[in-house]
Amino acid sequence: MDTIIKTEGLTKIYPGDVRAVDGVDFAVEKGEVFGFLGPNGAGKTTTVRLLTTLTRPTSGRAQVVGCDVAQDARRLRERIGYSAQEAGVDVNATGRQNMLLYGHYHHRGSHTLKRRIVELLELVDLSDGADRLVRTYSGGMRKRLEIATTLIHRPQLLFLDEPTLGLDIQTRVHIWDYVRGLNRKDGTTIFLTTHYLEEADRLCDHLVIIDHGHIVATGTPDALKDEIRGDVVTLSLSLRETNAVAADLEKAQHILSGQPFVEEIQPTDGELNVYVEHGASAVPQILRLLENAGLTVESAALSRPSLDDVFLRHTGRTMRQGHTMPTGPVPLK
Amino acid sequence: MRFFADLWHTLIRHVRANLRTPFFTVFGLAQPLFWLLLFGQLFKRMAELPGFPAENYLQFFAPGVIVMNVLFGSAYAGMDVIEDITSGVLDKLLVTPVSRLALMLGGLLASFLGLAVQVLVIFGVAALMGLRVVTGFAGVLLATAIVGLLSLGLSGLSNALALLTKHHDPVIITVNFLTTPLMFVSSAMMPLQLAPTWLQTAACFNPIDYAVRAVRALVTTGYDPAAILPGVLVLSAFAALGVTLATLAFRKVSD
Repeated sequence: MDTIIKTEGLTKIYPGDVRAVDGVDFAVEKGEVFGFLGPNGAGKTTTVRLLTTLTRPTSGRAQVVGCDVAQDARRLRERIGYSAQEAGVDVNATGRQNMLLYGHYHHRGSHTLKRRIVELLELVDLSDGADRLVRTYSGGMRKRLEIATTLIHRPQLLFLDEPTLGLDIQTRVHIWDYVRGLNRKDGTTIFLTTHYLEEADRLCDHLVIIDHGHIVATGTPDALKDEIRGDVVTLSLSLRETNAVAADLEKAQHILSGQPFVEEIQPTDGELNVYVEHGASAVPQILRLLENAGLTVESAALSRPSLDDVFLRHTGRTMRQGHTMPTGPVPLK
Repeated sequence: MRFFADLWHTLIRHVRANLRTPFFTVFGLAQPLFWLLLFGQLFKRMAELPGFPAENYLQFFAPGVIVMNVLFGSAYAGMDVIEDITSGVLDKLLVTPVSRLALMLGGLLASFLGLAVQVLVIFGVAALMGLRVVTGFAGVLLATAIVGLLSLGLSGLSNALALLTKHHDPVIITVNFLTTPLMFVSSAMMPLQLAPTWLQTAACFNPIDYAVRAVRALVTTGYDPAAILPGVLVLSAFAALGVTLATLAFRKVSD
């Protein structure tokens, strides 16, 4: 397979020695959906900005669609599409006018453009609103339009920076469908960033997990999860006294870490993740051990390892806190 | 050729956006027309002062109003850029192969076109009030071209400031701080013969004053090279400065 993105020691340092991206090496193969997973501020957006020529690397190199990001920006831009985190569409124009602008900027003839626009608006279910001002669009419609504008010139490679951030469940599922369709039918390579575990899990063929500008893990979602064998038991203890949670958790961790059936323990905010080979048989044992030590278990949840567990294992922190997917409709700012 | 296509499509985008928000164009016009009426009355008798350089205050003041309108209109041009930055549109446009220069010049030209319409309307209203332009309609067009240079320079500087700071506040504060002194350190409202010498010297460094003098010559005295030539030269340099700084700032954004 051909490599469509390759970076070597890619680094971006902002004034004040902020190392947004710090010596990152990775490769993306043509035709895959490649994900950058990490919490906010991990360096995902900066990486996308580096690869799309929006910002220059401080050091290191990146080759995208056969062009060097620093030397050959113009040719590079002809071959890629870029969807920003904010639905970057012109609200003072209609949907169709937005599409035309991007088509003209990609120097496509009016005749082919007209047909292509009809086709794309249909793809993102915007045929009806095409001639309305974008100002009247909902957040989800704006995002769909934005994605359509990035496809006008049939890019080989599409960058999606947090494509479903702040969107409601229904729109999110739609966008996942478009992305998958584009990848399967047109063979477009997709590079996406996300801090939604489910999104990374569902869409990506390959993943990079990034934290504080460093890559902490690389692989397919399944391979990454397989690194953590067995099941995860998530325990939370009930409070005996106020402020005793940390002490109790430490005590519980101490008791369990001596057990032969426990493979690994990771404390998170007020909870304990216990990695075991057979969850179903481990839960009663864990409960008994803790009760005997005078600790009261409030809840014990059994699950398969998720990408969050992978993140936790590599960084000692969990991504899940504060970054859960909204379940109701959330308006785009 | 692609450059001109890019420029054209950028221009169309901005002009269309301006037409969609006629509020600004209409209110932008209300202010200079107000001045024309209000100050025209307030300072009417100034024309009786010995040595006043025009036959009446309207003849003197109308060119001042036109230049002031261009000053206020262009100085805020950077606000459109801020809007494109905060909405994420600018980033998206920068990832297309569009010419950076065209992207920037298109906005400046659109801002000038809007102002040119306003200038023509102000000339028209002033004519109804009794203004007589000695060089006729050709003079009006030349005056519009001259303030066009001023507009390019000012909106270029405004865009540069917007691109470097990326926030509304610095643009608003700087523009508020600078526009009034620029207006008063010129012969826009009062003949400078009546002002202290230091102010007359300061006006020599003020592009606004060059524009006022050139337009005023076209209105009151005719094609007077002593007023028009320095105006065209200084304002061309000023326009070049504004466009250059805006272009450099634009490059810096993608860095």
